[in-house]
Formats: sequence, structure tokens, C-alpha cells
Amino acid sequence: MSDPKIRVAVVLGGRSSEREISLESGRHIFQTLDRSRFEPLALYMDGDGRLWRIGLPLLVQNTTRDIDDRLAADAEPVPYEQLGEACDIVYPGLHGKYGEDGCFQGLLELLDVPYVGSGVLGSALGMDKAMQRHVLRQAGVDVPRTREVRAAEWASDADAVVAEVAQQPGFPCVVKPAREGCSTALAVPRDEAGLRAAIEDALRWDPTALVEEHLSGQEITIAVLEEADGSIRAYPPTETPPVGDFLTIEEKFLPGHGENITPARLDEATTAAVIERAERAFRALQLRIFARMDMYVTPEGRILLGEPNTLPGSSPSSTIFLGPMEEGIAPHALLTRNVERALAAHAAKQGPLS
Amino acid sequence: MNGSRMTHHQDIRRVGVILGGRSSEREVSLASGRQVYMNLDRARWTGLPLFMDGGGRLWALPEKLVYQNTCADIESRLASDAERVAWESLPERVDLVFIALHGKYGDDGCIQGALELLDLPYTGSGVLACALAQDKPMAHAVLEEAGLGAPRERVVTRAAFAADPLAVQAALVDEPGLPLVVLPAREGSSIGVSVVREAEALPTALATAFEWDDRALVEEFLDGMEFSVIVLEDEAGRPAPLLPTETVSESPFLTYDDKYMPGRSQKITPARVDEATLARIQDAAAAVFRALGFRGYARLDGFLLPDGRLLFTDPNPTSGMSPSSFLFHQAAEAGMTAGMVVDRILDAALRAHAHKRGPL
Repeated sequence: MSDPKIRVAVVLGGRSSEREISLESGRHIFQTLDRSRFEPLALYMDGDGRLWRIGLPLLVQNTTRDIDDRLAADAEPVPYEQLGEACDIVYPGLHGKYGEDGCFQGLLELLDVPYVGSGVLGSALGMDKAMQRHVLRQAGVDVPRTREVRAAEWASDADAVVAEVAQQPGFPCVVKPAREGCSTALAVPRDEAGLRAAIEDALRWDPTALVEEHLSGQEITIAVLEEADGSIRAYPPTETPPVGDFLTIEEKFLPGHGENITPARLDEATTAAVIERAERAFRALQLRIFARMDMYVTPEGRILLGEPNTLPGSSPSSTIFLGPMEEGIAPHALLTRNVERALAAHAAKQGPLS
Repeated sequence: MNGSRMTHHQDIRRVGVILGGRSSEREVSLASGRQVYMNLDRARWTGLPLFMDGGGRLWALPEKLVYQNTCADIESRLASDAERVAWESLPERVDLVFIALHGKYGDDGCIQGALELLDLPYTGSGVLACALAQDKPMAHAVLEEAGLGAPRERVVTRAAFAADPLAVQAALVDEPGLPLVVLPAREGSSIGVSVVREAEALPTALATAFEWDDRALVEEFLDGMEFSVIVLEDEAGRPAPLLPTETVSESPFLTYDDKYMPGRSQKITPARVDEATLARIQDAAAAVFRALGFRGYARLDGFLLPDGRLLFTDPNPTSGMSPSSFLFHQAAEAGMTAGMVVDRILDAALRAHAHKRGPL
């Protein structure tokens, strides 16, 4: 007799600007989970944060709008408090605000439902690039030089901010919201007018905009996994040569766009340093189970952490799968490891996962 | 649900006061929630007391259950006297939530996350600030980075101590050095805290801390004036610290009882230091509040050391709210009644959530 299968609820959709990408990730996780070990079910999170159990016909819809239209007729609501009975563990296929930033994780902690990925603090830090960089600097991890611009400061003293940025870091610079992913509202202004427009755009997404130094060099992504013994290990890095100024949402997520080279073309010492820095950042931010680190290697030899992704894109061509694959870990095996490791972590935790 | 909308007093808001919860501090939460509920200005707010049980479920309490002495008393009567409220139906029942919970699940970002998902405004800080503050080593790292100082300290994991207890012990005696304080990385209210004066006492102290968390924080023993300062947001959303309270206690650190039982510790407000020092503590408190991203209100505990160092060791996104708590004690010194404090915290919540983009 084989053990009963572990019921994994894959959650997709959600409330963020990245909910369409979440469909790709969630669907791929759902399809790739090893059926000999797991019994997956698909849960759709609607724009109000409610959960619905959806079948295959809805799971393969193109857009969240298509799914939303059919929820009432074709899906079954799953109240939060029944989640613990409906599944053994949640695999969030969500990205961005509410799904990847500690909100959903907080709900699952309250309900005592295990989940894959980082806890509330790690997820929240992973999303907030301003706070995350304070923690990383303390841990000795280099991050882009960053000027935080809060909405209140911008409203009262935009001219002073512009004058300061023109001095340091100067142009071009990079502007983005503190808490969005996937190149949302990301701009590379080259003059003061461009800077004003970029900050205003970023502040539409978040109360804090970040103005960063513009880095040239190699863009590296690297998977960091918690091993069965609880140790933390970074896998062979992937190089993602950018096409324009930065990776756009299309390059990151659409098949056939963006070129990836694994392992990255780095010398041995640089590879070792990238791996060390990725593991250190994972620990410093209290991440758990798995994450994808986006890093830069500059011609001057700086190794910087751009941002961590605590629920990285998980569609078939996603970079999270590439490094582990170099070491013989197929995508389905990576998912199995993540689920098993998460179940063990939640069984051992005292209070919320940390 | 349009049927539940107020027809007469359009500006009276429905406040869900959540008390109880899943943490070791649930009894304190009962006193806090009751005090908040009793002091709601009925001309502005209607209150719905909501008990969170040990499974994280919510129950609307009838008035009589609010005045029960213990969570156990309440729980024994839930099935017969209270009404289950599904999380998803909360936005139909209340306009905002006063979180009167303390400790794990309540002031560490968990319930804040659930309320964000439901798009309900709530009192106090958001998910990240709450989660940061309850993790003392992480909060100290952020304060250190902001130039606000932190005690000399080390984090010891359960695994590291199990692997080589003698080496861990020797390293701690070396740095931060004896005497030192051992505490769980993530509990409040002096739970699991030991003062260690001899190396032989370290294993027991660490074991005590590990009963509460996988990580123990080992800090230098701070021998100075212990203070607590409440910070409220003003109408422009800026942190406005009240006058700090000096806490004098017989034991070397404030115990759970000292902090929460009436008459256990002496609270002296304002602290017995000169005006310039009071102002220095208040300025630093405002900076700590900003650095950690707190919103609404907070209680910041720290030490003023004989060498002049000012350290905020224990920033809390909530405060005990029993009648003699620091919150109402300091507010009274500033001429504010309990009702005014509750008003101010609720108004700050409405303001903060009205302007947010994404979670607070």
C-alpha cells in the first residue's frame, strides 16, 4: 500500500498587478506536481481575496477576466476556514502584492495551514526593496545606492528631490516603486523631466519610490534552496543578457523572449562570490524553502543584490528551474522538494514560520 | 450588503474590536480589548467585540461575555452564547478593526495580512513593520543601519547550540560577555527571559528561550534607566511621542507580571531626567518609529545608560491597553482620556488606509 497522497492547493490569480502572470505560474505548478506523490487542486483568488476551487476548464483560461466571468457558474467557493480541511498544504502561485508580500502568508498562519515559501517577515521584506536594502547592508551584502522618495516629500518638495538626484546618482538613473515586481512602473530617466515623470508614475503604485544608481554589467539570477537538512544552498547562476535598458515583463515571462545562459559566463572566483552573496542574503532576509535572487556583477567587480523573489515566476521557461536543472533536479523534482521541505518546516515551527 | 448600512448617523463607523487570539498573551489582550470597547465614543463609533479563538476563528461576543475574566471562561460559552463570524463576511459587519491582540499572530503581521486581503482598515502598523518589530534581532539590525543604535548581541539557533553547546557557550562569554540577557528572538512581555551572570547558567537560559523560539537572542546586560514611550501619530501622520515613563522594578528586568499587573512595578512619568534628556528620548523615539515604518501608534521600550547611550531594545507595534497601562498612563499625563486615545488611534487608521497603495 502506498501512502495517501498529499493534497496540495495551488493558489493563483490574486489582487496584484501580476495576477495574469500568476495564472501561468499556478497552472504550471499544478500541471508539473508529481501525481504519484501529490493530489493537486487549483484555487483561484479573486479580486476581493476570496478563494474558489476551479476545475481544468477554468484553469486553462487565458486571463483572470475570463475566469472571473465564470466563477459563479463553474467554481465552488472555499471559505478560509475550510482551507485546512480541503488541503494539506498551500503552494502559492501568486506574485506581487497581497500574495507574495506576507499578507496571504499571515492569513495562512492564522488558519494554521502550511504553505510553500517564506514566512510573513521574509515575504514582506522580500517585497519592500527599501527596508530589504537596510537589512542587506547590515549583513554585508552590496545593494544599489538608493534614494527613497516618499509621496509626502514629493508633494511638498519635489524640486529639492530632483536637484539632489541630479547630483547623486545623476543621470541616467533607475526609478521604481518600492514594492512592485516585474518591471512595473520601472523607468530609466535621462534628464530632469524624465525623472519627474518617472517618480510620479512610480508613486501611483506605491507610497515610496526608489531612485537608484544605474548599473551596467551582467544580470544574474540564481536559485537558492533549503536542503533536506535545513542548510541553504545556491545553485548555478543564470545570465540574462538584457535587450533594452532592463528586463521588461515580456522578456521575463513570455516564451521565446529573453535569452538565458546557464551557468552564467563568470570566472570561478566570481561564481563563488555570487553564490556566497546569494546565500547570505537569503539568510539575512529570513527567507525559507526557496527563492530566486536577481543580482548584478559590474565590470568594476561589484556583486550586488537587486532584489529577491520569494515566489518567483514558475512558468515552463522560468529561470528558477534552470540552475537546479544543471544539477539534475528536474522541475517536478524541485516542486516535490519545496513541498516536502515546507511540510517539515511547518511541522517544526514554533509560532509563525521564521 | 446594503441592508447593513447605517441610515441615520452616516458618520458613525462600525468598529470590530478583536481580542483573545492564539498567543501566550491572550489574557492581556482580553483586558486591552475590553478597555478599548468600553471607551469607544458612542457618538462616533459602534463597537462589535470579536473574540479570536485558539484556532484563529472569530466570534461576535454578546456584551456579557466581554466582561468574563479569562479566555477559558469565554471559550466555554462560545458555542451557546456567541455567533461565528466567517473572515470573508467581516467587511459586511464592520468598517474597520481595532486590533487589541498581543504577541504571535496578533501583532506580528499575521492578522494584519488577513485584514489586508479583505481590504479592511485596521489600527496600528502594517504587515512588514509588525513582522519586523516582533523579530528583535531584525528590528535591531534596521535600527543600527539607521544610526539609532542597538545593544551588542548574538543570535543562537537551536541547531547551532545542539551541535556544539560548549563552543557556543565560550563564544557568548567572549562576546557580548557576562553578565548577559537571554531571550527568545520573537516573544514579548519578558516571556522566556533570563539574566545570566555565570557561564554555567547559560545552557538553562538558552533552553528556556528555545521553549518559545528556534532562535535565542543573547544581549549585553543593560544597566541603566529603563523607559517606555508611547508614540501616537498626529493629524498629519507624523509621529508624536508622549512623555516617557521610567519603570522601576525590584527584579533585574520587567517580568510579565510587572508589565501587566497593576501595582507590580513603579511607573514614574515623566522619567526623572532633565528636560533636554526627555526631549532627546522623544526625538529618538520619533526616529525609531519612522525607521521601522510604524503607523498609528507604538510603544517603544529602551534604556538610557550611564555612558549616555540611548538604546531602543523593544519596539512594539501595539501596547497593553489595560486601564493602568503605559498607553493610558502617559496619555493621562498629556491630558487625554482613554476615549480620546482610542479616537486618535482609530482616526489614524482611517487616514492611513485611505491613502495607502497596496498594503499599508
